[in-house]
Order: sequence, then C-alpha cells, then structure tokens
Amino acid sequence: MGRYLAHRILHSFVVIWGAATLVFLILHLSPGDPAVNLVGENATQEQFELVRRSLGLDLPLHERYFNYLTDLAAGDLGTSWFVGQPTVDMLLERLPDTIELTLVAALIGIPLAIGLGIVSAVFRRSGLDYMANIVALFGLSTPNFWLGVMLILLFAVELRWLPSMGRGPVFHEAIAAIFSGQIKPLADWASHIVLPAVTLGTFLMALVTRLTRTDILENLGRPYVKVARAKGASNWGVIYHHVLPNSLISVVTVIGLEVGSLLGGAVVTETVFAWPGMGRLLVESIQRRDYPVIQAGVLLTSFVFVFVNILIDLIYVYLDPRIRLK
Amino acid sequence: MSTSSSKLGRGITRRNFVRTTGAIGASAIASNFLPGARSASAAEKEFDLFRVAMWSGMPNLDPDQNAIRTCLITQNWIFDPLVWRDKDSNELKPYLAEEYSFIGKNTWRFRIREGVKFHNGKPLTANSVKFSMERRMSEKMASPHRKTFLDIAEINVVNQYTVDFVCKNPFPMLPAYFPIFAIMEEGYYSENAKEHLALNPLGSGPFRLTEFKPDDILRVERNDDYWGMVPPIKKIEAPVVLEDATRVASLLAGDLHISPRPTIEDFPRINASGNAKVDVKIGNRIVLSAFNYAMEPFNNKKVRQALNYAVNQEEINEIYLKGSGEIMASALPSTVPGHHPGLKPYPYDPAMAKSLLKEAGFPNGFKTRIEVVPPWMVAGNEVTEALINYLREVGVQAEMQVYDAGTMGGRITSRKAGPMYMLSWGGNSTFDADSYLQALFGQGAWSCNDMPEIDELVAQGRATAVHEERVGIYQKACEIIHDEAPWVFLHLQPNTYGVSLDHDWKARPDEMIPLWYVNKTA
Repeated sequence: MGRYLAHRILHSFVVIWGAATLVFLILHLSPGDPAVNLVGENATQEQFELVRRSLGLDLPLHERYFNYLTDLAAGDLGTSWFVGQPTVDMLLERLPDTIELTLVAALIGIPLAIGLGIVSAVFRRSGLDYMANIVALFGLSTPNFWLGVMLILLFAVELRWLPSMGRGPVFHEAIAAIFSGQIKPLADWASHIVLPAVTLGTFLMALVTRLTRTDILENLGRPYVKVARAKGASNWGVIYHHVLPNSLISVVTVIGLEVGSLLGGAVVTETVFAWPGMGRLLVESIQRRDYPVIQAGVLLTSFVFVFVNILIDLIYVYLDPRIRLK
Repeated sequence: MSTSSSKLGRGITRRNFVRTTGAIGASAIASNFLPGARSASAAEKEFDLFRVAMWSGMPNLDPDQNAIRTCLITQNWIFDPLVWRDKDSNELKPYLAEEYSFIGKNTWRFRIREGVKFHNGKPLTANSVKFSMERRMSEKMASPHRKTFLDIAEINVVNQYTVDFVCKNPFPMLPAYFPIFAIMEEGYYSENAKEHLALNPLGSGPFRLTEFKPDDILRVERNDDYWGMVPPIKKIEAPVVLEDATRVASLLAGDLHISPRPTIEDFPRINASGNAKVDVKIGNRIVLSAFNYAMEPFNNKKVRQALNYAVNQEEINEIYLKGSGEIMASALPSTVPGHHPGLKPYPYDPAMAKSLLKEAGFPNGFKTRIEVVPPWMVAGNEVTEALINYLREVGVQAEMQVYDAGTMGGRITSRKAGPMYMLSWGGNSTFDADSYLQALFGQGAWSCNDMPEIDELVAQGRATAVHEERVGIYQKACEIIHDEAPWVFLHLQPNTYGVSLDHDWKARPDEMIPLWYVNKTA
C-alpha cells in the first residue's frame, strides 16, 4: 500500500506539471491582451506598452515559462493582476464554497440515484422502472444553465419559496447558531443552497441511476446470487448484502470522476446562481485574462482531481477486499 | 491680473463661469444636501436593504487600481468626487468642490467644501485633493487613469480649502474627468499596502464599506455622519450576477431593486410583471462598425461611403433596440457638446451603395470579415448579423468572427482588427468630445483609421478652454468624419435597467448608479 501510494503521488506530480505547462502555453500562445482590460478606454498605445512591460508580457515565451516554473518551485503562485491579492488566498477563499456546493449536490443526488437504480433494476420493466428511466434521461439530457434558470423561475419568481441567487450564511456559522437556539440561519443556508445543489446534482444523479441499474441487473444474473437465494436470504437481503457492494465498484469510479470535476469548478451552476465558488472566479479571470489566477486555478483543479482519484483507489480496497493495491 | 477678473477666453469671465457652473450648482446642491436629522416621515421612506446587481466582476476597489465600470459605480458610493453630473440635467455640478473655475494661465481652481470628514474621522481638505491626484499620476502607482491627467503640471494648495491645478495647456476637459476622480485620505492611503487598499476602500462618501469580496459581493452601510443629505437607504448589497437571465429573474422575484442591462427580449416580461419596469436613458455609448484603413478595400472612401448607404440604421434600431437608440450621423452623440445637429445620417439607399461600389471598382462586390465581441453592445450578435445581411444585398459577402474582449481589444490596439470590426464607446462618461475623438481616430489607441486631420483638431480643441470655440472645432471634425466615413455609423445606445417599482431611482446618461438620493415610494 505504502509503495503504491508513493508511486501514485510521484505520478501525480507529473500530471500536475503537465497541466500547468499546458495551461501556460494555451494562455500565452492564444491571441488577446490583458493590458486592454487593465488600462481602460482612454489609454494610449504608450500606456498599453507600459502595462505589458510591467506584467512581463514583453519577454520571450521561454523566459516567461522559466520565470513561471521558478516561482512555482518556490511556492509562489503569483498575484492577481486585477484583484491585487495572492492567487492562493483568492482560490482558498472560494474553494470551501465550491466544496460545500459539490458535497450537498452529491448528498442530494447520490442516495437518490442509488435508490432509483436499485428500484429500477429490481422492478425491471415495471412502471417504476420506466419512471426512473425517464427521470434519468431528463437529468442526462438537461443542460445545467437551462435547468438552473427554470428552477429559479419556478421556485423564486412564481412560487417565491426560495431566493433566486447568492449564498446565505456559511454552513458552520449556521450550525453554530443552532446551539444558541437560532434555526433561521440554517434555514437561510438551506434555502440558498438547495437550487444550485439540485441543478449541479441532477446530472450526477441521472448518471449514477443508470449505472447502478445496469450493474445490479448484471449482478442479479450471477451464480452467487442464486447461491444466496438458495441459502434462504430474502430478496432485499440479497440486494443489500451481496449485489449492491459488488455493483458499487464502477459506481464509485464514476462518482469519483464526476465529483472531482465538480470540485474543479461547477462553472455553469455557480455562474447562474451567482454562487461565490471557484468556477465563477475562473470564469471572471478568463474573461479578464488574469493569467496568474487562471494558472493557479488549473493547478489547484489538477491537484483536486489527482487527490480524489487516489482516494477512490483506496475506497476500492474497502469495498472489495479482493483488490490489493501494489 | 487678479484672479477674480481673469478671462476664461473671449466673452467669458471667471465670474460668469463660476456663476453658471459653480454658484448655481452649489445653491441647488445646498438645498438638497442640508445636513440634519431625518424627520419621522422620512424615516418611513427608508430602505433597510437595497440590492443592485453588477453585471460583471468587481475585482478591486482602489480607485487607482482599476478602470472597470462596475468598480467606478460602486466606488462612487464610498468616495466623493469634486464634481458630479446632475441626475436630471446631466450637467456637471459642484459636489465636494463648492465651486470651480478656470482662472487663466492654464489653471483650474477648486474650492472645497468645509467640514467634510472621511470615514475614519479625518478632515477632507485641499491637501487630500492634492494627495489623491498625485497618487493617481505617480509612476509607482501605475494607475490606469494616470495618462488622462498627465497634462497637469503641478497642484498647488492655495489654502486649506482651495486647490489649483496648473496644467500644461488649458486642459478644458479636466472637470469632465472628475466625476470618477475619488478623493482619498492621505494617512490611510499612504500607510497601507496596495493589497489591503484593494479590498478596503475608505472615502468620505454617503456609504461606508462593511464587506467586500472581490468579484462576489460588496456590502456598504449608510454614513450617518455624511456632510450632505443622509441617504434614505441604510444598507446596500451589490452581488455580482454574470448571468443575464438570473439578473432579470431576481428582479422579478423581488430579490433586486435594480438589475442593470436586461436583454431587449426581456423588456416586455419585466414591464408586464407588475412589480418592476424597464428604465431606459440615452447615454454616451455609441455603436459603430469601424473600417481598418490598412486593409483593402477600405482605404477607398467610396467603398466606405457605399457601405453606409447599404445599411438601414433605422430598421436596426427599431428591431433590435425597440426604437430606444438614436441614429448616428458622425462620431459624436447628441449628448456630447460638439455634436453636429446639421449632419444627417446616411440614408438607406442600396442603389447608391451599388453605384459607389461600381465607381470604386467593385461592381460585383467583394468578400470581407466583421469582427465582434457581442457583449460590448446591446444585441451585439443580432446587430452584426443584420449588418452582414444588408451588405449582402449590395454584393458584399461578409463573414462574422466572434472574439472575446481581451483578444479583440488587443487586435484593435495593435491595429490588426478587421477589415471591419464592431465597437461601442462610452468616452469614460466624460461627455467630452475629446474622449471620443482622441481615442477613435488618427493615432488614437482604439483607431485603425488614418485621419491626421482629426489628430490636428483634437490638439486644437485641447488648446482652448472656451466652450464655444471647442464646440466649433469638434463640429468641424464631425463634418470631416461624416464625409470620410471611417465607420458604418450605427446608433447611440441607451442605458437600460430593470427597476423595481418601490423606489424613485431613474436611469442616468452617465452609466453610473448613485443611490444616496433614492427614496422609497411604496
């Protein structure tokens, strides 16, 4: 296990370096000029040149890349050209909001998906199965930006049950308020997060539903299920104790990949709901061409992705003791 | 010559100038700004919380570290400017400066209101004004506004509340730049690091900072010690909402009081909602399709004129702006002195367009490209597509190329944009002709044409502070521009807002959203 982890961590450095290099090249080789966004309408050509020089954009590409790697090696991810703050601080301030949204989306979506998948498989070709399939199909084929706006129109504009955008109190503050007898902050937190979480979790829910259904159906035909039934296990007992753990390997893989990509920035959902996460920060930075923030953001996303995948590998061992990591 | 009798120029004395720009404004302001406690009925009209969405990010609230419109808007809640544009007439009026005037010898004098305090309790004096301008002009600060003020040679504090700006030339547009010139507290802004100041603005304005999360949300609260009228709004929240549909939905859901830049398609829905309406005001932002003179065949005047005859501006305005725009005949909009009312827009005349193209040697038209950043203007995609369709009717096959703002800006400022490119221009809300002509023509940073005669007229306009003289110079420039047709002239775009019906804020020409005078009406 130890050797395996060391090997994976070493590999992850190569992946992260590759991502950092790729994004550096994409940013610096693509057309466009951050100076234009920095100096405003009345600037002169001379002023543009001054800003370009001060940002180091007049240096040859290899020099810029060398400086970037040197700073990176020294642990310096740079300072935002527009916000004037260290990019690490900016990203770490936004990351908890994205994690919070992703976790709530996963907590809403995954149990629902596994439940729907099981019901759908057990009651194959019944009305329940068809309904679950329709829900999954809807989730897979509905783009987030459309679903988000529709949810806002229904629950915020028409019914006026929920706020249309923004975020309420921070979760830990809402929980702390409960201990002082206040439930309103938690309600406020929940009312703000529910629509973006549902929007974000819908695709994940649909994907996991389909996958769970397929895997359970595949396992239901295996000999060990017949043995379990012959030993007198109940139908649900067979599903819960035998089929589900065997089906979860592929489901966990997909969940890992999807949650990893959501943590990397739920760009569309965060933009539609004005959620202050990392995805929206990256969108704004890309629009302004704030290179240091974009580079640091991609680096952090790569790190999160690699970390989540290592975590998933470890979960495999727990789910299936036959798997050994070498 | 004593300053009191010094001449502004032919026929205008300092006394007259002050009388018209300063004293009248000051008395008008005094009637609105008398400090004192709010009456019981006024308290009933107070907003506990007022919410305004920002349509793009607010990365930084140090007035010398950004030139972004959303930042300019919100900074004006926290900082006071020396002069301000009147909410009804849009004329420049004294604000922190009780009066101002051109006193000759290339010098502008500002007399500062007494008794004004910054949010940290320190007094605002002429020294604060001097410090703020020196900071803005310093090379070390590298402010995006620096270049605008490089014609200022020195800043002299005459006494505690009087400051002189001695310029290298009359610098007639100086006051026009001052509505976005924030006055800062010297101690605070010289002792703290740039990183801190970016997030923690401190001014003397009607609202003081409570929380700022860059690109996410700004929260301010009323400054109860404000020198002027205490605002009827206790707190303001300004969340950044990038998505157009969300901004409109939030307005309709009652989560916003002002929702800037709704799309034209949403106008009927907002007006029919019963709790909000669309407020439209013609402003300063012109929309045009420019030609790059370095690219064939747009070095040919007849081709440029032909394309102006080929496009039906009226129809574009009717269809895509619901008639809310104003058709342009030349470079300056009707809201800017120097606009030439005698010039008529090119009429829609495809036959004339074909005839001119034939004379220019293109009887069968030609192929070209129009580059566009759609968010730069209202209905950017649709207007560009309409333009392409009109050009096709006269044989010009144009393809559309969409860019993001950073890329497009780089293409224009390096003179590689085009052969045609869409552009909108607001002149930094100065409503001064110089802001348009110096940037968009000749050697201007945003120009891809070759018009040295306009550069010459810009220089002439800067050499005099006599208003009428400047108007004459700029009208002459407009005549040349109309004839040379360096753009397909399109329209003056309105500023659009969705506003809830429970307050009396009205859209302004200058694209700003001041809120200190907003009353609750329902």
